[in-house]
Amino acid sequence: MANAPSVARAVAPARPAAGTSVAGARRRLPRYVTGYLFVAPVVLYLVVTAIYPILTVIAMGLQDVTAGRWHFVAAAHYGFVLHDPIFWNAVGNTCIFTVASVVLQLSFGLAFALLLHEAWFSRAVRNTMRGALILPWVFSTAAAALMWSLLYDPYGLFNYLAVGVLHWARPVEFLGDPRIALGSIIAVNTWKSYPFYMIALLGALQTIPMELYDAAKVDGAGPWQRFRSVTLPQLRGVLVALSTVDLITTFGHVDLVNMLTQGGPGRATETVAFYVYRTALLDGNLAKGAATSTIMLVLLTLMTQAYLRVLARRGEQSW
Amino acid sequence: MRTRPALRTAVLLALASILTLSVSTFATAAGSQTEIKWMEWWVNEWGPDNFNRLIDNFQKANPDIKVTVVDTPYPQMSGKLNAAAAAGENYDVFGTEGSWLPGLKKLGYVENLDPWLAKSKAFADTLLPTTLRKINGDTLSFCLYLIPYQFAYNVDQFAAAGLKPPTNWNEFIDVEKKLHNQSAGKYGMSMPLSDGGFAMTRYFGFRLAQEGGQLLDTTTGKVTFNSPAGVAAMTWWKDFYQMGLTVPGSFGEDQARMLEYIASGQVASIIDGPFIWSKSKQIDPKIKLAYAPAWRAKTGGYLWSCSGVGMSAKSPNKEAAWKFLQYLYSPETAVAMTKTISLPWATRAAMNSLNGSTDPMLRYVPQFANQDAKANIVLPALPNTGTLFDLFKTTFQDAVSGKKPVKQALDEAAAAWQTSIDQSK
Amino acid sequence: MVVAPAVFRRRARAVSHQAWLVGLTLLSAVFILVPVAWMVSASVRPIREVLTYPPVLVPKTVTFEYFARILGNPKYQHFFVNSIAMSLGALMLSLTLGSFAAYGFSRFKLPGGQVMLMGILSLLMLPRVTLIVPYFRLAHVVGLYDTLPGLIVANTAFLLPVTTWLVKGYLDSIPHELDEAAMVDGCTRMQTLRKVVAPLAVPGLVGVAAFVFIAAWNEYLLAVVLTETSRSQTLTVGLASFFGQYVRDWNGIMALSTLASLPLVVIFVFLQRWVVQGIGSGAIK
Repeated sequence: MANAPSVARAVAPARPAAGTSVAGARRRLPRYVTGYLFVAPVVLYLVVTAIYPILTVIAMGLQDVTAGRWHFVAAAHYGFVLHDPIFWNAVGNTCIFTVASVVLQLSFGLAFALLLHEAWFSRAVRNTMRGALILPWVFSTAAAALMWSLLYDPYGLFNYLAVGVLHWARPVEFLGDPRIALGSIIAVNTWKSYPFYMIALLGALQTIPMELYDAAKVDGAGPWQRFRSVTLPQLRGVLVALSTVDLITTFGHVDLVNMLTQGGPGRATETVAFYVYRTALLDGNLAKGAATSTIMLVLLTLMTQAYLRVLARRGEQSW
Repeated sequence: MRTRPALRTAVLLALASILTLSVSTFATAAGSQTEIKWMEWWVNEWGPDNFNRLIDNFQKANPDIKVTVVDTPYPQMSGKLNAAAAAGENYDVFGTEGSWLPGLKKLGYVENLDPWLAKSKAFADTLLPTTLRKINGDTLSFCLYLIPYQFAYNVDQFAAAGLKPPTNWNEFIDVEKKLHNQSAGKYGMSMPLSDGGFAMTRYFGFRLAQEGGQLLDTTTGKVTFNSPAGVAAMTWWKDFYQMGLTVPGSFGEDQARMLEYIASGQVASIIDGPFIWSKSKQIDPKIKLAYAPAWRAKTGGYLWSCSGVGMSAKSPNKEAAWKFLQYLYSPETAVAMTKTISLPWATRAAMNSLNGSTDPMLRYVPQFANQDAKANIVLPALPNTGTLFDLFKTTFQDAVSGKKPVKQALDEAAAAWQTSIDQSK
Repeated sequence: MVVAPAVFRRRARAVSHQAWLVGLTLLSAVFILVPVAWMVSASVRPIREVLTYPPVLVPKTVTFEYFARILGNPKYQHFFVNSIAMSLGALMLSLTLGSFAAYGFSRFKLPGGQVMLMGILSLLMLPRVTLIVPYFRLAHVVGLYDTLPGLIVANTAFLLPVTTWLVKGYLDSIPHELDEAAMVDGCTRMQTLRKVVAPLAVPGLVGVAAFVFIAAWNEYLLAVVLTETSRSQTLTVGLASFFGQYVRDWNGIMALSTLASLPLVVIFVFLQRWVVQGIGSGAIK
């Protein structure tokens, strides 16, 4: 804290942030010190509660254990994992799973948010629909996965429609056919998580000032143009945040895979997180699991960075 | 001003933690009994009443020992056990699958039970040779109940269809053909092939034993399931699978769904352990299942697996823990549990109690064990079980679907198993 | 007379607009709610009726014994109370801290801010199955194992990054000019925050709050690993224990899930109303 002012003097002129003049004029501390004070509680909290676990995982990945004694093995686990074709297959599946899930969830979430944001003939009906459409999200994943496994079953509801009603020759093997199993899981994941976007975007839509739409109307913009020139830019910040968080959590997702297919058929639905689960818990190889986790951390950091950078560039060009 | 919420929470949390700490130290100071902790997943499996009776009887006989049960849901059991082992937290006695032992052993968490057995000779004699789960010659856990896998059928459905339980593999195929009705979408049984452990034990391993093969050479540690017997076993299953007699979607089916098929009357037969009847009754209380009499191909061997209990090497109360283990395997407990929860307890007394049993499932268990004892396969406690079973899952799927020739699929799997097993030594 | 067709046409357009809106929503809702309806129906009839083929769509027997079994079990009553306390605790902690941080990240150009924002996310980037090992150890070391505060602290660590990011997203979409104008008018930063930014952020905060609460409510891995008695266990532990080694208790799972989701829906509907009021009386002129 003691040398903060000197740093400030060096940095502040180079960063003429918007609105610096007003706040800066009244305070002697440079602006960003106030900013740090806002940020500090979270950073401190995470330093206390998250740094140790993260470092432990990274350290575990560099060691091995025999008879309860940990010893340093450098990058041995990394070498194994990075040369394991099963791991790279899992990376590929995870990328498909993540991109497809995020895109679908975002599309459905945004569509429903727009539909439910409009003025309906009855506010009560609309609010009921809002409540009803979050149901997939509030049900526990375990229960939902269980129910979907039954719906997908050869003796389930979907195949009853296919075989019993439409008289197809054979039931569809939603989870047993390597060509469609991953798609089946993506469908469940989309169903389960689109309300996350829906709720968040409903909130964001309410903050868009009506004046912007009125102004656009005066300029003769149609509904699609209003959506492009007003709604999307106004939702941008929220969409970026939502999709970033969703990207990360979806990449690390394991529950649905675990409950619906256990990575099969073959290795068609095996994700990185499932690979970690199998290595760390089913094999009882915590060290190798930790090394794989660290690789995942690196991959995700790179992916997120790239994603945010692309968005930032797109942002400059406007949507 | 703006840090106050954080500050307040921090203070609150600090207070809370101090409070809990002092309360917990106080609580332990107050007790004069020895407390042992038993982490397991069986309270609901065995029924809370049976379970509590088990604990109460022990505590009545041993008033100086208090057993604290930490019941953990099965799907999270290995995670919690591993976390405890890595953190050095003590659970004096713990339920364990054989597959978890190698990892726990690496973490230095598993007590070698051989010295304890040497001290209690009389007790050791009450156990079966298959009770002891050994890794590299050390006994790391005891099987609590032994599970053979055999063909079981729905008694009422078989009677309605005028079918007799098959007494050998060919009759098995005939029965399945009669139960199959493609146009009505009816099948005689299902195979949950999304689980490598299932494919290995219920199907491949069962037939392998009856072909006279073994999974591993226990003396040399060499993987042997790609032997001619292994190829014969896998070819048998490939031919069976390709007859299309089982419920479609096998590659996406798990074991719980298989149980739901038979319990809800969707299929009339199954290959599984003796617990399926009592488990099926949880879905349909009126269902009647029975085992077919013991089969024989080239041999009369069966594949056996088990879940068991181990002792923590970190336990400060090993004497008490050992007392509790002895109680779990005492003839009284073993016979009573075998009877009430239909799991053949892994002791001589329990096995003997099954001779002359009228239980439609359990009465054949001694026959499975004894008709060709040399040819039996006991599922070994393998390192990296998750990965090995997963490899075997793809192998089985590739072989039965014809994606790879049987011999090639088995050779590749055996080589991969060998590498993985050798690496972990 | 010249105006009438125009009015009529406008009315017709409004009606067809409504028909589209409502029709599209209801149609998709039917598809989306089929699995939900199945889940609820599986909680009121014996499971073998749900597992039969062809499917029995209308329950033959309706029973509330599965609900009664859960509600009448003192252990599950504990679970309910614990789940509420834990989720509320995590919600308050992460929403308060996270909102302040989000404001800091959104309104100040912080040297190293980008790195911090990314760093905050790193806990989410590691799979939980490996993270449970250090958390188990940590909980024992600080004496928070098998306590509600322990669960709250651990859950908050995973929720804070999300809260911070999402709230920042909302704040970014509130024009900076508004704060500046207020400050020019002589408001202090805290006044600006309270009077200008906060009211505008309320709908967004409600969305984040819903997310945080639901995420905490449905978290199960930490809950199983960091607890061992019903003193601190939550509903998800009760739910997990319905999944046995060989058989799963469908009725128990579906009944408990239905029960557990009710409060969430009620809260959400309630919050929605509150948000609408907040806007009506609120800061947007």
